[in-house]
Amino acid sequence: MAKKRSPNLDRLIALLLFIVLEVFSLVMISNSSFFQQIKIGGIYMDIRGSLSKAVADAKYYTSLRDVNRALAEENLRLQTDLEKYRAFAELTENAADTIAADSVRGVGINIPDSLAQFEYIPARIVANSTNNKHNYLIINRGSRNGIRKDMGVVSPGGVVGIVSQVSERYAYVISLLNINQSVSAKIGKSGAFGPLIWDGKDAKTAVLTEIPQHIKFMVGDTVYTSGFSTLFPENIPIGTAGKSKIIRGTHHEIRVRLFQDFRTVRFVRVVSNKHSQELNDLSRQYETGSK
Amino acid sequence: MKQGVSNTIVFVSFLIAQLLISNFIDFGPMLFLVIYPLFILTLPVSFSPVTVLLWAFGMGLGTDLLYNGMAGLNSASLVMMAFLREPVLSLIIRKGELESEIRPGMAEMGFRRFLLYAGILLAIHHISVVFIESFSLTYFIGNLPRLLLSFSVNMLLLILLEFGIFYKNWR
Repeated sequence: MAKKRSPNLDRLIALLLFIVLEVFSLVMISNSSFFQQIKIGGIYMDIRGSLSKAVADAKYYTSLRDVNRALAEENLRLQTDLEKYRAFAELTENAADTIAADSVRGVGINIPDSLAQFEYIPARIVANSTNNKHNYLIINRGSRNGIRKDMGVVSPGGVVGIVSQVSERYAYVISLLNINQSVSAKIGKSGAFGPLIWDGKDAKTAVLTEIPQHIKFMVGDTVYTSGFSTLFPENIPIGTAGKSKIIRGTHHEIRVRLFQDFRTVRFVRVVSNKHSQELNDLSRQYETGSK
Repeated sequence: MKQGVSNTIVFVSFLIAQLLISNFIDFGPMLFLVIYPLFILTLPVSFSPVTVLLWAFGMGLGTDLLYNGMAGLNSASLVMMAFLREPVLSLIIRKGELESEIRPGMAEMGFRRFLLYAGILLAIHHISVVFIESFSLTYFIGNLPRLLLSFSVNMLLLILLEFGIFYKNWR
């Protein structure tokens, strides 16, 4: 037994230790991007990968039916899009002879890859949660695959999140189901846009805020991404409008039923915007110029 | 020394169990499942407050680093709970028991006293989790269902665990 100290001194030491530990935890919370980096960078991801692989595979096997259905739907959508472009290509082929004959062959015009503003990097979700107020995902693609901080992540069911931290092989994604996250979205074809946020109540609904009061919409209207941020392309369907109420007499707050079921999402695509550097530079120039 | 070793084993098992629960069981944002408070609750009475705080911090930090939630949330709330363990314990424990080496469990304290003891401390833990998460009082009404539902489910889980795993062995 150690020598007896006065209970007051013990209490004081405990209090000081309590304060130190609390402060350390709160610093960790406020500086969480640093600790996220530690979490995906270390050997932990390797251990976790091998440990949870069996369980993840089993889960994946049981959800194959849903995955198949989602893929089929995605396929159908892509096919209809393709038909549209094919028809357009035939039209231009017939109309304009100026296009070089070798660039119009069978399927249509050879569009150079560099023309597309957005590129997609497929990825698989390694870890996911929906039962916190701050939910995160980890995907199995990192800086090695060209993923950088602040890229959007989408799935066939809509927006999934935004990349927060990147290590060599993994990336930490802030889920849309995070009360600090917001995505610019618009309602229907009216084009009225506002931030789409999650209120932490239900994993299946989010809230579209700041829609001006005069905008008309119907329950069941589709909510799309607005394309006003550099993160996501325009017109990705996110969900359908549900109940709404008017806040302070000026704008609507609309509950949005999400297409994406965050509990079953397995495969995602990371959106790489080739113009994001240019756009960010431009807005930075404007900001510094206006000061 | 022997107690330190056995405590480490219990610590690791609680950590693994907690990680399995938080990674593979998901009931949506209204319910979070935690079992690690039971480890801090049932540390022997003879442990000094400093030791309890360090164990609590270790457990919280382990959960935070190994689980992909908000880093620091679990350690902050568990340290809060561990700090208030001694005052609550001194309210509930009988005279003379404080000096002995007993483990404050269901077998030692009896069901009703254990329920009171665990209930108060688990409530402290849950309230700090919910408040640290949203960092303000404005969401209090919105957070109330989450708080109450998680509290009741975790309390039940904790009692079942204590009864199923520890009660018989210590009798």
